[in-house]
Amino acid sequence: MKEVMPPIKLLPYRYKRYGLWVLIAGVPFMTLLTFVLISIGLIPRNDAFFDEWSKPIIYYPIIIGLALLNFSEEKEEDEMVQHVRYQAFMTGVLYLIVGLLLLPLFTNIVRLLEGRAIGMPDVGGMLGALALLLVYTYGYFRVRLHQIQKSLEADEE
Amino acid sequence: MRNNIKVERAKKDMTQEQLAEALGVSRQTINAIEKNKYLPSTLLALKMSDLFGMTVNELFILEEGD
Repeated sequence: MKEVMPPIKLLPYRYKRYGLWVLIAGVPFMTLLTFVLISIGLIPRNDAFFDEWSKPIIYYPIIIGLALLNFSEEKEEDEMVQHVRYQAFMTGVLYLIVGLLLLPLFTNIVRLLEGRAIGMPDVGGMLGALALLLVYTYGYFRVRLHQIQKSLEADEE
Repeated sequence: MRNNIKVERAKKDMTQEQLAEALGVSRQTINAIEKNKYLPSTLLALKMSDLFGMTVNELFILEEGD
C-alpha cells in the first residue's frame, strides 16, 4: 500500500553509537582543538578561549551527540516507537517554550532573594532560535495540510 | 477500546514474539496493543485481522465513551 504521508527518514541505528561517542569524546576533543588553535596563533588571545570558545566547545559536541541520538532509528523501529518519538518532541518543545519564557522570572526571583537588583538574563539568542523553530514547525504543518487538502480536492473533481 | 488479540493469539498458539515477527513490529508493540497502552494504525490493524482471519471490528471493540 502506498502511504499518503511517508514516515520521516531517520539515520540508521548505528548512529546512536556515534552519538554517544560524540557526547563522550566531543568536549575533550574540542578543548584539545582549541588549545592547538591557540598555540598556532589562529586564536589570537588566550583569554578569547574563555570569552568566545568555552560555550561552543561544550555545546557543539553535546548538541551534535544528542541530535544523532534523537534522529536515529531504534533497534526495532516501528509505528509505536515513531508515535512515542512524536510525543517526546511535542512535549520537549512545549517544556522548552515554558522554560524559556519563565527563565527571566525564576532568575529574578533568585536575584531578589539574594538581595541583588533585578535584570534580564541573556536569553535573546535562545528566544530567537525558539521563534525560528516554531515558525518552521507551524509553517511546515500548514503547508503540508494545504497540500493534502488540495490533492483531496483534485481527487474529488 | 478493548481488543481480542491476546485471545486470538492464544488460539493460534503464537507467542508475542512470533506475532510481532509476522506483522513486522516489535514484541513490545504487541504487548502494548494487548494491554491497550497503544492503539495501532489502520494498516497494522488490517494486517492483524488478515492474520487472524477476522474483521477489524471483531478484533477491536469500541466501548462506551470511545
